[in-house]
Amino acid sequence: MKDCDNIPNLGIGIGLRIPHYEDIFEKQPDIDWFEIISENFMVDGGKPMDNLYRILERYPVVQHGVSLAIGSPDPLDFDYLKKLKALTKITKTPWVSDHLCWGRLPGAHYHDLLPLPYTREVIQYVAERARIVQDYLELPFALENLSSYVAYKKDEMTEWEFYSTIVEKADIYMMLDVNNIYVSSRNHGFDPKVYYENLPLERVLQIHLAGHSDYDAYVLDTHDDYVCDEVWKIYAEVYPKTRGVSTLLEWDDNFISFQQTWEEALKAKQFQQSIHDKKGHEKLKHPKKVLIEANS
Amino acid sequence: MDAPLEPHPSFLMEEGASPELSILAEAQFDFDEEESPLTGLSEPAKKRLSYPRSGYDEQVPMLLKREQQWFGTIISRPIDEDSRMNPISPTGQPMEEEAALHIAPSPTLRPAQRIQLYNQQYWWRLLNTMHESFPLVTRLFGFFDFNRMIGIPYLTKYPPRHWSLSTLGDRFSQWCQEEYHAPDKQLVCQAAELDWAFAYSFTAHSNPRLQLEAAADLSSQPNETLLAQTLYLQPFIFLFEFDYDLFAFRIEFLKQEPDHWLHHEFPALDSSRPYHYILYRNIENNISWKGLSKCEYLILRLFHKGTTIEHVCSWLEDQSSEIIDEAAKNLQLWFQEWTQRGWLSSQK
Repeated sequence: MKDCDNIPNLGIGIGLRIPHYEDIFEKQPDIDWFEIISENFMVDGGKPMDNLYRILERYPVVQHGVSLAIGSPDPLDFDYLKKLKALTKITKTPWVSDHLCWGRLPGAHYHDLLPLPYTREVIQYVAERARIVQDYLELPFALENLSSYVAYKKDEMTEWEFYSTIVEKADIYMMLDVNNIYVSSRNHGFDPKVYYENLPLERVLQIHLAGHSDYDAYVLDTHDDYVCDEVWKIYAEVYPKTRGVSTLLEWDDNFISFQQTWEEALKAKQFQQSIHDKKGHEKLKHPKKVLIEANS
Repeated sequence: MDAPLEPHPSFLMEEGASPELSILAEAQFDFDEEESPLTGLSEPAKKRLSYPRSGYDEQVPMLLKREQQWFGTIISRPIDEDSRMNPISPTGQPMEEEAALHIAPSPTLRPAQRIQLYNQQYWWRLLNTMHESFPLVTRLFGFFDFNRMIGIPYLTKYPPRHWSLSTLGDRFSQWCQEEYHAPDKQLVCQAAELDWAFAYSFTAHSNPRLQLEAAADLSSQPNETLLAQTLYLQPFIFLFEFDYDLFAFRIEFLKQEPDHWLHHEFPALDSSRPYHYILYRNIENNISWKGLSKCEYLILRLFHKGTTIEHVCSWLEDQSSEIIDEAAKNLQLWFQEWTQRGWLSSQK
């Protein structure tokens, strides 16, 4: 059975976003690692790649995608996957992740993370494709749970059953977004604890944290605010059960300063303390060292 | 959330010629009798909601495919001026009823309200990308009119087909030529071309630069190989000839947010003479631009298509004495500058 024993724990990272470049290049802050949106660097040339090379000189980088749309009804896009794989050679990312969603029809791309119907047939379809993606990329591949706003009439099971079965059937990993668990729990009326208690958490290779927008009748996953207490609570309960995995704060809009973003991400440390105390772990090694060891 | 799904007059007026249907036409959708969930509908209704029959993964479950076809059609139909979903489905049913066939209600939202969230997200995301890719055009109209007159009609005719949002505006200049017919058409079309040049150049491919020694050769002992070699401008380079100074106009416009210009006079547009510009990426990969003389512009245009120095010289023989004189005086220096800036390559 797949678990994350060979996946490095990079510590705490933040999503690499353009408004932070100046601070990063000038001050070279002591950040454990950065996550990039893969598609932003799957370009023909220009400034984005210059910036990426500068970041790579100093920091470990992990690739997270938004356009694979693995559950779409058209064939897997191997032109896209080829570019994605080429980027992994540059970044040396220890794993690749994208979302458990669909987003395309033949001739149309919706540029959104659209939820799938939770049926046995869909599990079979997506799991097979996920396995192909992982084999093709030759890297650990993880799917992330969505924030979703609809549920289909034809759903045959809960989201956590659907998600767990796909990753196990495909023998891939989980990128667990604890904010998404909270957002979906509010939008669908389930207990977040039931969600994460029914996941194979040994397959989680990374955790996402983020803020959201609460409109009372529904909650949108906007990544434009501080992580709320309820999400920290989920994180505090999930993290120890994962044996300690890389944690990342996503902040994509209404930006605060780089320093404030980093301080928000660092709050995760207080919730991690218990696991390290409990297991008598050594202090986390420097992430670059972890990566070098993992690659050697 | 309030109940936002009552029929909206703007949609009812467009009945029969709804712009959203062109999405279906564009994707060459084709009705499939066996697969269609529309059995029992009238022929016109069937024609309005037809589904693609090719381009699918052979393994895709039928139920999944049908739900996705329905979902994709619904969320990509234009929202109204108040960001509300079209209350009538493509089959002519109330959306409240049709959504309830596919989507379960939540404790707080009805099925139609739930899918409306995706309908709004689709349009807001795409329109935001258009605002970012076309900042000058957005400012010429302001957000509201840009979305209504430009953004939504363009994205309805040419919906995104590629995984990269950076390609979203790749047919916008073409759309302006085809569909925008107001008296300011020339300005809007040229603004669209200029905005797109900035957006495209940012991540465009670059070819190996012609080496500096080649330019030096030209001054001392021009070698035959270089003179006969076909040279091209880099793929990230754009050349412009305007009847006015659109670059200066754009700089002034971009100093303010789009809606500022709804209540203020536009910056002056200097139309005292024709303007020639080159837009390029500099050595540090930042977007730059530079004014050109007409002669320099015309010669660079030849390199844009691909030409040899020999051909440029023979082309000059047929030009006016003004152009010939200027070229005779400057060509050597220009060539050195173009090479130094990395504008030329022997690769197309």
